[in-house]
Amino acid sequence: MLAHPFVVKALSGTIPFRLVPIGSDQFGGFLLAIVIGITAIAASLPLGILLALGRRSDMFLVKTLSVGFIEFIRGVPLITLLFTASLLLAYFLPPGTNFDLILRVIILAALFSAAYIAEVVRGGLAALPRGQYEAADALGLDYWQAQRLIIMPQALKISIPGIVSTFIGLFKDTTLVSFVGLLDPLRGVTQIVRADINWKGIYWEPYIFVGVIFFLICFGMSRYSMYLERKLKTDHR
Amino acid sequence: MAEAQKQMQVSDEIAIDIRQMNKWFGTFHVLRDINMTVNRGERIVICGPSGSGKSTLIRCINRLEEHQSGHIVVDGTELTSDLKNIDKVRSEVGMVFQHFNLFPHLTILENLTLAPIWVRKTPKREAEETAMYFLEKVKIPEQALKYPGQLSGGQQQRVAIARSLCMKPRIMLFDEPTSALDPEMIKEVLDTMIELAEDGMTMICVTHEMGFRPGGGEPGDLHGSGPDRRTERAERVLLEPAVRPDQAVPQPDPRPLTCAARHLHACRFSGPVPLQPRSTCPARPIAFWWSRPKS
Repeated sequence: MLAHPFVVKALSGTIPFRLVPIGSDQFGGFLLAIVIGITAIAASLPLGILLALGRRSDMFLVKTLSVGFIEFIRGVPLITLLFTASLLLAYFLPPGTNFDLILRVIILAALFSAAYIAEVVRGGLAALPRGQYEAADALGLDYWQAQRLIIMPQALKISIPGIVSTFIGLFKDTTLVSFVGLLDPLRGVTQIVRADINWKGIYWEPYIFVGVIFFLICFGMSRYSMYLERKLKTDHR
Repeated sequence: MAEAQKQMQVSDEIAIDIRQMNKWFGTFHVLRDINMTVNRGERIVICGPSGSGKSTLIRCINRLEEHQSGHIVVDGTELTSDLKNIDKVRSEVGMVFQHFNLFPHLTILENLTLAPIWVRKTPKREAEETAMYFLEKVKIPEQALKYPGQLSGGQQQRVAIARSLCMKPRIMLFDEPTSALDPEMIKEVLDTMIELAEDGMTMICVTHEMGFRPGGGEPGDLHGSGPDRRTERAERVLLEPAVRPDQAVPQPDPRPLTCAARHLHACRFSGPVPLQPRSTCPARPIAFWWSRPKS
């Protein structure tokens, strides 16, 4: 992503750093995990919401496509999708399109977690009393207004724990990208440990270190979700 | 009183016209050949036992339920599958629910201003002024910045009424507005409804309380045909649930039937609102207890 010459040009235009374009193969470590994690998280939430709405839609085509997508993605391991990413994306895109490996992984991670988010959000939608839909309808709000102003704020609030679990899962799954040749934090560690004789005997140390950083980030997300839940609580007396 | 009479005029203008309307839930024929006309300014109480289709009937009026055959014309707009018409009718018809259905994530004021701002495109400041006016009318302006969860049931129902009024509806539907409340709170909600009735609002109120009956006073009270009598009667119908088995059995109106539910054709009652002993009620799934004098 950062390797794209346009991004580099734009960045060096505003910030006076010497940014050198690099390829996906040289991009690694926690920066990779965070870039994949954040972009996939940001993309999967809106996509998941749309899929959840699609699954509850009365329109046959929309519903069938949503259900098909969700069930397919949830039924297949992420690794399988990562390996076949180039093949799958090539089916949907004009011939000759060549994707950056990282971008490909990000798209797949986003689609993958969107399917899970969709089911979590659908749970939130189902938990809302029918009366909320009826009240919105009775006031004359149209479908999108009702969704945006009445239904989603409440459904998402109910689904916060599930959504954050999915995000945490997604963030940890970013380590799986090592299978398609990207340098995720764990793979980086493995390479270092193997390359240097000094790590012999204490090879577990860098792994623990990586684990601690993952734990801190995930624990932070979980605490943030608890804070959000408390903040959005409106039924206090 | 003269002023009140003027306000209470029931106009000849037709607010709701239902013709040969049928509704099924699956194979269950819940409403059969409903014919019903409601004039502007009329206030109607629909009574009946559970499952007789009272709620379904008024939910059809703003298309929360779809009818399968027949015609429903509300305020000159026929309800078909045309979404534009449905939204138009819904914004003209206020509805109050049994379980209030306030939006728990918004404050009372936001609950009241949401629809005017997004549906009517009213400027925010103006919407808030209207909201405060109606909150004062239901006597809880001091709760404006609280959340629905912080209010009592009666207060929530009054907020729900105010929320509907903020859309300046021409017709108000009440779907068992007091069924989820205890007696203390029922009174405050009924007071609000009676005030609304006195202002000349077209109202349809559903209740399953078969004991609802008009005035506790002399039968003569009930026969009055002046507009003030009508208010009085509406007030009493709402306020004094009781049963007087010794009273007259309702007489069918000579005019075309106005209402039917399931396979029984119910009657349009004219003149005095009929009093029925509880035991005879189930035979008549829906009774229109209405407040229009004989014409």
